[in-house]
Amino acid sequence: MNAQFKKGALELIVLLIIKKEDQYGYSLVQNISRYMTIAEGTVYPLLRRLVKSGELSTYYQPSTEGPSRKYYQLTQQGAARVDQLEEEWKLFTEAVEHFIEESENE
Amino acid sequence: MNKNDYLKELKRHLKHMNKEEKEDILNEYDTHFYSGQQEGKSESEVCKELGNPKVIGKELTATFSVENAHQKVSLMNISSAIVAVMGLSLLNFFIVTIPAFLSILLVLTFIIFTLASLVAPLMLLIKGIMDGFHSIILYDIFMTGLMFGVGLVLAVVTYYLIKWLFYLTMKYLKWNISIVKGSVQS
Repeated sequence: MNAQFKKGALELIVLLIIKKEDQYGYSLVQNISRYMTIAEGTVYPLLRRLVKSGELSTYYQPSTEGPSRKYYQLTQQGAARVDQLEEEWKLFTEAVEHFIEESENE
Repeated sequence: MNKNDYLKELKRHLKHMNKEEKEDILNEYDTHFYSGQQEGKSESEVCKELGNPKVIGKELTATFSVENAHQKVSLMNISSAIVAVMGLSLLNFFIVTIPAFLSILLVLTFIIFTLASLVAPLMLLIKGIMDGFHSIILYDIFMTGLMFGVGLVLAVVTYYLIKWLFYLTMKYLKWNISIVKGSVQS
């Protein structure tokens, strides 16, 4: 898959997954890599950026075994951001679809 | 590469941040290893999936430095942030170095002109002491006043210029981090 495409969509993907359900790092990474390959370790810098810019907040929850996990959840600002990104993404893909269809109908 | 090597290498590239921040980051990667092993992956498999610790460490450092400079504004913090972002990749190096150099030049020029204009009355005073005050004509006083006035205006302009450049620098550095390809290469 084209790296630039992935790059552009990663923030939206991360926010969408967390919107559905709070995530800890490993679970989030697994959810993404089921559908596309990424360097898993670099999801954490993105998560930290989203926390610092106020889109996500964190809390710790003890796991049944092993160390307690750091969970990420959407803030109000994050919820607004994901809606906005989703809207923009749809407009973008509609535009691309249009050109694909047009080229096929020739 | 095993877990310890990985975490050590990662730690080596975490700079300019306090101990808690470092611990927090390393803990998260440590937990990641734990979860991976729970699923039956070996340490070296997890290392491979995570990606190059040097690249990740640099990205974390850049992210932290820029945020830190934004919150605790100081020349030191801003320089650290610029250096950290420059180190991300060769591309970042070039697209940061040139604007940074030009910005510094611009700010320095404004500061020098401001100071030069503001010391005009002092120069007049020195001239008076050296050559005797009778040598000062009305024209000198008029010009000095004018220069001082220009200096005051320049001071305000310089102040806003620096503020605006700071804001722009922060935005530019953040954008630089966001274009790093690291997070999708695998």
